[in-house]
Amino acid sequence: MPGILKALAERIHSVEARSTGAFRTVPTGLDAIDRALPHGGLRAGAVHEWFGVEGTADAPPRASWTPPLILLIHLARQASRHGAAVLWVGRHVWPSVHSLAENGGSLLAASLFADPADAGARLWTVDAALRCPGTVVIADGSRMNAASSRRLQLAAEAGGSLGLLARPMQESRELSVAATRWTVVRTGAGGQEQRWSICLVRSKGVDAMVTQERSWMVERMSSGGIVVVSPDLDVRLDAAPAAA
Amino acid sequence: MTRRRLRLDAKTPVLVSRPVHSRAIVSACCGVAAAGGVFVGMTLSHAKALLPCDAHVEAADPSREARLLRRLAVWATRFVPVVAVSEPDGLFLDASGCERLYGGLNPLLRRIQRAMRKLGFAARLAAAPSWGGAWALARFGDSPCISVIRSGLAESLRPLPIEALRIGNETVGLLREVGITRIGELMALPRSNLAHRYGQALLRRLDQALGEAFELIEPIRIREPVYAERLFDGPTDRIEVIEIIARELLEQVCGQLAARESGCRELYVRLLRSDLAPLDLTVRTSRLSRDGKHLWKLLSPQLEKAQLGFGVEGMRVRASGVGTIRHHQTQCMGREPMAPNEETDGRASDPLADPSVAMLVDVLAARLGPGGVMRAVPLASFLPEQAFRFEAVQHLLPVRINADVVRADRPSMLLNPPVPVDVVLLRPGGPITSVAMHKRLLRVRSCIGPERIGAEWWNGEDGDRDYFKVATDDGRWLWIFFAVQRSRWFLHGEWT
Repeated sequence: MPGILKALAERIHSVEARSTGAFRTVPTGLDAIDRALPHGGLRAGAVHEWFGVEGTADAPPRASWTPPLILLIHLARQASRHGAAVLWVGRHVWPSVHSLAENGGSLLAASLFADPADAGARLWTVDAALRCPGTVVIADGSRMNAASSRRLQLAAEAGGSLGLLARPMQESRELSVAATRWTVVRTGAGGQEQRWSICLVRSKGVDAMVTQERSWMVERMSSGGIVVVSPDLDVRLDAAPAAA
Repeated sequence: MTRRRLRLDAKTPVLVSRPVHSRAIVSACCGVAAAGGVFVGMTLSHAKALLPCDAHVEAADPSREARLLRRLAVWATRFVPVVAVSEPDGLFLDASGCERLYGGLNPLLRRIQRAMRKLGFAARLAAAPSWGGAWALARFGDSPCISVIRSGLAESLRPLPIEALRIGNETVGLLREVGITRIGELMALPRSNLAHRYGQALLRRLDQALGEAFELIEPIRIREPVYAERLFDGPTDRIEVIEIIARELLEQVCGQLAARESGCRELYVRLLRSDLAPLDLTVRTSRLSRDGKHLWKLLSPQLEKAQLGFGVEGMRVRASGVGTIRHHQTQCMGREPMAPNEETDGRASDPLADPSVAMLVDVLAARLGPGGVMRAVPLASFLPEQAFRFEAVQHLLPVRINADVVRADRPSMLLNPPVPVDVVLLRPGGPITSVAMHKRLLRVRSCIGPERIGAEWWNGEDGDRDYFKVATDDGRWLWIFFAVQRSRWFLHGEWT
């Protein structure tokens, strides 16, 4: 039964998909996560929201909000392998140039940066960029309401582009029409590794019964890529795709 | 020209010098300097010593002179349709059939001379039935303005020195060795001997001067400006009318560009207002474009905000920065072409080569301002905040990745400028045990370092830095450095 549903979902997606860009789905490069997503990755023509990064301790003040840049850089690198241009909107989500220049610098060459003056201009910029076919838009999504979310989702559908919005954890209860919603939490325990716990809070078109696992532990490697690790055994499960 | 540009008085001599074997040699001089005894080829110090007052000296710039000569050639097309540049300091004007419009060759020459004088040039002009003859007479003739007909050409050339034949210095030297200094003496010698001793080139130049050999010139090609204009019957302040006219003019300009297989990078729109000075609007694109819809998308926001005053009487649209956009076949026998086009090829190699990305950049830049869209350019520096520069996207050319980008482990987020923090150390210069941030004391569970980044003393900077990679108990990974000279701690970034 789940197989039939999955095939049906695929057929509906192929009919509905109006992606004119270079890609329809961007695999995360982490097999464990891709298996849990309905199309084997993040769907183009949609907006995906990333909440965090949040600490495990008490909630820090708003000023200390930092977007999950390492994850976003990883996803942008995955998309740029399909020949996508990457637009970083909002200075708060601009990553360091060193991290973009890792692995040959192809992501740096494909990256453009915009810093609109206010929230209105930021929303307009993300909207305009999402209407450009085959682009990846990574934006500061803070202080965006449900209407903005709907507007951006429609823009992404029109352009067939991939939208990744970084939002503070406090806004995770805001209504949104994003295709997927993720939370990223720092893991305080551990030794020398840089680790985060990411959780798929919502994924459109996926029954809760289809995918059992919705939370993963990811670790940053010294080469710059990320891998999924087992939280209990501390064993790397799938190092190959991220290391490529 | 220099005198006018620098507003020098008429008595100040102007010299142009160029370095030759570590000596400054006069390569050109004005009439005042020439009257004082200065000639081309003498040393600059000698020339200065000859002149009674201080001379203005300019360094010779051959490329600038070539550009000026080219501009002068374009200017000269107002007299005759065919003009060619004769490097380094001459112009060929083909006046065949044009002289009647000016009442003969002499009135035409006088007119050109007057116009040149107004521009600030002291020109020598000669009209002759051959290019070589005109060249020789203009440079070596007695009169600065002379016209010679075919029957008198040979006689006019006889007294001129042999340098007037445009032959090499070596041949001139050889001829002077045997006492031949004038063209007339050369013409008296048997041709077969001349060819045998001095080569065919000498005879060819002689024949070209006398008009007996064919000579080609390469006329300059002037491209008509891409331009469209509409003048109204009367002033109007209705924005709908102005928008319709603007779109029509844009279509005309794009049609002209398509006919030339080209596109433009800049579009200048001038609104002729009835009671105010003309209003100029500028549209810039990151790539060559002749897409009317796209250009209109960039122009319309500016047009909406334009101050029209009491009305607009006309509109002009001019394209600039014109370059070639190759046509490509969109259909073949009712089907898509089999071969992939350039755009698909460009996308695979450079994502920013996609035309839709270029359009996006233009739209964002038009709304957010010229610096609205930027790209990061790596620079050769070990200091993290100086290892790159954000620059506004002008043209979407591929970024050159500097091979010297530091490959060390660097945080994903960099704070610029670094934020001062307070830390607690286990021992002086030793590992960090806790960091004070946001009025909280974070305990450190891992501290890796130090990594010393030295100051770039060659840029006049001082202050080495010791960087530590610090993991706090709430899971943060911070990049903290100790400024050695300032004895202060700073937070410079975070792996987030």
